[in-house]
Amino acid sequence: MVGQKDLSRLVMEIGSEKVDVSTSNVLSFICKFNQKPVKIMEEQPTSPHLQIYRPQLTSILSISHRLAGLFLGTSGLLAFTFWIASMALGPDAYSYSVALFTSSLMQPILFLWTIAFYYHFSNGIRHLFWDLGWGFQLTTAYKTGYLAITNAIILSSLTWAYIIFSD
Amino acid sequence: MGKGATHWLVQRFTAIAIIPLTFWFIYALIESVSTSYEEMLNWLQQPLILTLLIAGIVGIFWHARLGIQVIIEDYVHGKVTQKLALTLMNVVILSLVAICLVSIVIIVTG
Repeated sequence: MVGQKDLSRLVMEIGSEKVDVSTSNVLSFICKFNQKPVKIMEEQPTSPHLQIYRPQLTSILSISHRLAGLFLGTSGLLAFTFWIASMALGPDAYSYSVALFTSSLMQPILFLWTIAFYYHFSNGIRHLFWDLGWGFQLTTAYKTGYLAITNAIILSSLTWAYIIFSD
Repeated sequence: MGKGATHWLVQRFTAIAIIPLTFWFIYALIESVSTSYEEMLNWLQQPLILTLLIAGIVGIFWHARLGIQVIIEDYVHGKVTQKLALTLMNVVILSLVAICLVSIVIIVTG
């Protein structure tokens, strides 16, 4: 064994090789290896490659959350803008847009918007709980996942029941 | 606070803020079908409705912008393509917000 003062000039015998394990040499060795991770971290971390990632309930729910959000944030907001702009353009434009949105052709899209919104909302609540540090256990993550799907189906059904029966 | 942390926080704040507003939007949109044009204009002129509508539009579009930004950053690779996609997305979102707000101004003043 060596005393502390010898650490600056320390040589270890590993097998037949003599390795310099002095503090300065070890530090420079660590620094040399640290350069690579530091360089990698300059780039954004990449998301799981969906083509080769084995699908599981949790991963499917995760990508569905993004797809639903993207769908609502593009087509949904475009349609909303169209609707409110038509109101500003006058009664004729407005009745045209109401006729368009109530047409049978639009009903599947309206339904997709409702289910996408209620799913994104339900799963978003799940995300907010994760942000508070709750629900990371695998069994809990599965339970809340099923709960989000069920909640989305129930809220969509209630909304469409209201649309159909309030006429 | 860093850019990433601010993004993360605003994404969550807008998420919580727009929950009641979006539910209200859905209800209002369903009811609008059986409402006349004149009644819709009168409904929109109310200060409380107007405030909630503008807050909803700003909050929802902001939340959408942050969400789409993350998707672009994750799935659009290449420095130039990514930058172009982000700029295009910002221009589109801002244009839609502008159209919504100008429409509201026309409805209220006209």
